[in-house]
Amino acid sequence: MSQDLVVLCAAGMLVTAYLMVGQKALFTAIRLYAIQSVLLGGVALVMGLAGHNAHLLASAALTIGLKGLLIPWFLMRVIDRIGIRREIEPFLNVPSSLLICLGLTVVGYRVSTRLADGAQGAAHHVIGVSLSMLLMGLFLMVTRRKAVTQILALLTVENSVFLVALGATSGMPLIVELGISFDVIVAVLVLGVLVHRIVDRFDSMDVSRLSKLKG
Amino acid sequence: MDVSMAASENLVPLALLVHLGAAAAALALFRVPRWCRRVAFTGAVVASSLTTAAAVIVLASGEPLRGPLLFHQASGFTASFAVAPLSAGFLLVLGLLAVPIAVYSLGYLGHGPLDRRSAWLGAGFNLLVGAMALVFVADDVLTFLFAWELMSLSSAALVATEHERSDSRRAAFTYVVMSHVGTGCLMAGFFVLASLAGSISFTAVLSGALAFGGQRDLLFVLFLIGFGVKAGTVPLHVWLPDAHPAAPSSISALMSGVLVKTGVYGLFRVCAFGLGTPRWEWGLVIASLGALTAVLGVLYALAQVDLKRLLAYSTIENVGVILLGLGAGMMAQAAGRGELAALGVAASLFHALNHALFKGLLFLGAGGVVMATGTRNLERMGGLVRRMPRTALLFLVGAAALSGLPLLNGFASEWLLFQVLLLLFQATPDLSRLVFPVAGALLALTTALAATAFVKAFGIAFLALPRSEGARLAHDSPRSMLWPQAVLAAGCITIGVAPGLVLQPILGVAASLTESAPGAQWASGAFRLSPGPGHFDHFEPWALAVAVLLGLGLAAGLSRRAGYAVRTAPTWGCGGELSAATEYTATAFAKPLMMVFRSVYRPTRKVELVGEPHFPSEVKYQAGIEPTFERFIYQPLMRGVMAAAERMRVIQAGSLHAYLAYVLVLGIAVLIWLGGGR
Repeated sequence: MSQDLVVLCAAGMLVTAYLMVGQKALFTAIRLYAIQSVLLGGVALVMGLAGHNAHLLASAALTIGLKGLLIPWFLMRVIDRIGIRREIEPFLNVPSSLLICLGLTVVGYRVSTRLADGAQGAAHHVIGVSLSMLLMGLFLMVTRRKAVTQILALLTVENSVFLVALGATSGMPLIVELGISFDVIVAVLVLGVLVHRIVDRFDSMDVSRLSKLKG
Repeated sequence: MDVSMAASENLVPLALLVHLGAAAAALALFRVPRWCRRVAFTGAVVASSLTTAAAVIVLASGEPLRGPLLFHQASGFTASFAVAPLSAGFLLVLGLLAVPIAVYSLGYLGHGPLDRRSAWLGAGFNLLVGAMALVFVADDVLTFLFAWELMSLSSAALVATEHERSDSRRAAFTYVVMSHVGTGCLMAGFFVLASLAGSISFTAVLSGALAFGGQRDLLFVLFLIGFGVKAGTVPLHVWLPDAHPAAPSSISALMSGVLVKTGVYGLFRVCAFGLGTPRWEWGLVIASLGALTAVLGVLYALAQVDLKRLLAYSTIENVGVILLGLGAGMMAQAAGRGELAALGVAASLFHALNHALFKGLLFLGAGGVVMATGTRNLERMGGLVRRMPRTALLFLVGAAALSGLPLLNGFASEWLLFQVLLLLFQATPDLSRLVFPVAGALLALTTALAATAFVKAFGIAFLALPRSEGARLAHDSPRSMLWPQAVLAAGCITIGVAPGLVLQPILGVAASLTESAPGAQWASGAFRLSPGPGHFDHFEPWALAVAVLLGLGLAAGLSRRAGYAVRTAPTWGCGGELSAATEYTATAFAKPLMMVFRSVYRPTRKVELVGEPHFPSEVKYQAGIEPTFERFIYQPLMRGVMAAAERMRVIQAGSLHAYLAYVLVLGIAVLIWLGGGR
């Protein structure tokens, strides 16, 4: 039962990642990220309840609170301030992006079947999903121009790393997770400020214009 | 006994601590150059005395001193040192030279424009001497590489002391680049050995039973390049003639006397005796490189008009002689003649010691000359023997020792080397024996040319009339600079007259490497270099000394008895006025030999007439020699590297997305590679 729930949540995360790749509106993308984080919290919650693991419960609360609520709220504020709503033109159009992500998922799953001898059943799916999400997050960073999308992609990568940790070892020690959560918050804050500065300086948050800085 | 052993084990760590403390104090006192110098160089003297004491203890007892330097709890890493006999030999050379140089520096830095760089030089000197000591005693790969790198960096910083001059910066840059290429080769070699051994301690890494066949040859080449750069062997020597003159003279003396020897130490420790029994071909390679280095070094030395550059090229020559001895020893070892191998190695080590003494002396003398005249150009010196008589006398001792004149140390080691070559010729049964007379002939040529180069250096700098205002106004160096030179000169004479005194311990060191001792007759007394097992001649310096003194006394007595009238008159000047302009110049002195060896030098010359064609008011003459190695090896190499870098720039697109794409592609490749492995 709990195994099925875990796999369901993980699959939901993969779906949100796909939706994010297909999405052009920034607000929706942020909401998708929020849903993804809540689902991640759900994975941790189910595993914690099934294994009577108190620190997993704590990290589930932390994930839902920080990544599901606080960070999306902050990012929405940033977008509101700078008044840019849409990812205008990704380097690749949506259909081909989705096709490539399909390929990345295949790679992720293929690797996860061969990774560790212990990774079978639910763990296999979780690791497969998280590896696919990791590659998709990187792919998002490569193909999108807007700085906010880049931040979301980075956060997706971070979520997937967390999921690998859950799948492979049923979670990292609490102190490590606290550290990582703190890092993520700081990173988002710094990046949010940087986005402001980029918009100020270039009247746009198209990061491909940063290549002008090259000497 | 227990207490004294414990105390002697602490000598080396204590010395390193004193060096560090002195360097830190020098930096802290940078506002008061006077005190900064005192603290730094007193610290260096104390520390070098400690290392010398450790070296003497090891050489006397033959038992290595070992101990830990640092212990890192978390990783379980221990940096350890071991003063084996070979290390002790080189440590002794370092100590013997560092103490006089430190004393000299006190006066040298105080009287010149380098006063304001006292903190820099004091700290750098301490770091350099400490790092060199650590290189000689390091007992594991990491400590050795750390010390090696510290040594390269601190000496590069010292080369760049006068960093406002572009040629100093350039010399330091060339030196840094080349020594890092060398360090790269060393790291590759050591890491391969360490992974084969599963340990980083030198006892395991240099056990000689790790690599075989082609891998062993490859390691030999890696280490040969790595240590060869530092030693200044010929295709890798180009940094040396730039770096030595650019550094302050006291540092040049240290670099030439000891820094170059760290490369030689590495060649001994690793290339020759760290990779198992050396192959005959390896010995041949080292001996050929040595011969090439010696002959080319001295030929280039002869062509220089910059006094310190001349000395630097002569350093290259002497490294060649040292390598020739090592190569001969390796060939003997490969042929199973351990006792002759020990003799060759001993000759080589003996020459390393002697070179440190006389080249240190010469560089210190050159420092005094350069300080007094304000120029390094021989063509602007002259007549200094009247203005700087003490410096001139000491320089003459050094020059004579370098030229291999009997009764001085240079003769003793070169004589021993000739004996080894002749004995090897006798002992080798097959046709390969022909190598040894050829090597001997090249060694003889080198020695003769070295004598010519130093006749030029001494004659042009010290004799005749001053060629410039600077030379006319020169005066002798202060005492604090003369005493260290006198000590080194005394060392040259002592070893020259009583070579047995030092040959005894050196033979012990050599025997510890080749594991078979040379015959007892080789060091049968302090005052003789004895005959070998064959029928070759033997040499008793004291007899020669007595003969020379008697001869001089006889000549003086005869001339006095005969009562010839002494008449003083001006030199005949062909009816004209004698002035500095009518003197033989340094270029002219070297000209005949440059003509003989023009295939090596490929001289260029340009004569320009100013004024009317048949009655020129002025003739401009410009002569140069082709920088063969720079032009045919280094420039093409540099162009290749630059072109490759230019092509690599495409990757550096400056676009965030491109960089992210690299990460993604690499990540997928790694995942597939890892996942596909099972």
